Amino acid sequence: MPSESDSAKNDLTDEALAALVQRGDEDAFTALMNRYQGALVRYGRKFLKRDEHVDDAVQDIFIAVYRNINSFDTTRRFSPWIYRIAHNAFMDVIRERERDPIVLLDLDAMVAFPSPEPERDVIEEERMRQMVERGVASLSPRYREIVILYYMQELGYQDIADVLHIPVGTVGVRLRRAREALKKVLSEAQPKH
Amino acid sequence: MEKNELQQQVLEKIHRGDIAPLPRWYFALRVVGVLLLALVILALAAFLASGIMFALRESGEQMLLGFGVRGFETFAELFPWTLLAIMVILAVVLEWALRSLRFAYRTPLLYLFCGVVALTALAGVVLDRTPLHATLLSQADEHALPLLGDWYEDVRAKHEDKGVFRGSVQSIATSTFMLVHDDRDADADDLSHVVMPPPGFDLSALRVGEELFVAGDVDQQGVVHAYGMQEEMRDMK
Repeated sequence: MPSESDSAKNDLTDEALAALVQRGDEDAFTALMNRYQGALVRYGRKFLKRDEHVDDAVQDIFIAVYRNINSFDTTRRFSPWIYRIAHNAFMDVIRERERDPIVLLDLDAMVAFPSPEPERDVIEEERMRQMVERGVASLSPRYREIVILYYMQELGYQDIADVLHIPVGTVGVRLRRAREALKKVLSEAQPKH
Repeated sequence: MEKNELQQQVLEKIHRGDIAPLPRWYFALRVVGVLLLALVILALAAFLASGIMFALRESGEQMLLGFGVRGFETFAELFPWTLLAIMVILAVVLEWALRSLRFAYRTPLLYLFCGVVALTALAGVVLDRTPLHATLLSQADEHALPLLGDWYEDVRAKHEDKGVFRGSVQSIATSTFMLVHDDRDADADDLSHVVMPPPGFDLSALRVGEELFVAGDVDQQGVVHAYGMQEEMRDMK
């Protein structure tokens, strides 16, 4: 049964919990782990091929969060910060254990694209989320990650730019390409009548 | 607060003291380190950029650009491409160093690179307006510059094989004049050349002692047939 202090912590924002962790509050760190573990595992499963790699990576992410908590600026949002750590951890796994090639020269990030973030359309997003669930594994890691961050983790363009360290315009362009790739993959997979 | 296995493992590591939060000063120091590294790289790149500008001016080779296609070709042959390549590499390293900062990764790569190159060029122009390179060149002339001495002495090297001559007018004849090569150092390696000016050039405009930069072809008699000639803008700051 959750204690009074637990439920008080549950009412706090991520940023307030992070500030408590910075002051040495271990329960606040546990609350943050509770809040993010499921999302990070889901994120990792879409990303990595083997489940044991996901669990190891999520543990590494929490360790990195704890070690680097004092670098977090509590006036900014916590979720892009932790997803940046997660991105690095998953990339390390892909590089070291799953030996997938990672693109070093990012042509999408070379120039600025005017790509404003659209208003979120609930029905369209639900349709896309289902498509992502069905077809995300067939996408390349760079497209896979951005659709997961946008549709599954529901981060905005600005936050995704901070997670992936790319310009905001590139987020829009890459999302559009990812959607196109996803639709193509799914239409090819559909049985022809 | 309830904890699952993964969380327990992380917390155990904390309790055992295997992991601890890094202090704030560590992150502050890291940012300072990145900025210092960026500053050092920028200074190095600016030094190279200003060095290129100084070398082109001091050697007179920038005048080749005013001598038509042949002058342009010779300019390209003599240009210090290695220095430029090192400068570009430094700009790439500088861009990489800055990428961890928010303003940098939010800026498209190409724009950031252009910004870095423009900043380097600007810093190079500023540095070029100081007496730094002229002072280093003087030290090199006196063999008192161990590290970069050879490079500074090469700035005034002869390029007769490329058809480039620099010196002062010693005497003037009816259709030619004598040019004494001057590499502006104390070595006794200065040679003289008979120069035939480009067609249409008014020899009466020349004065003995005038310093000239000449580009041309040397015939079998050793006469230089100039395709371009200009009074040297000696710039010893």
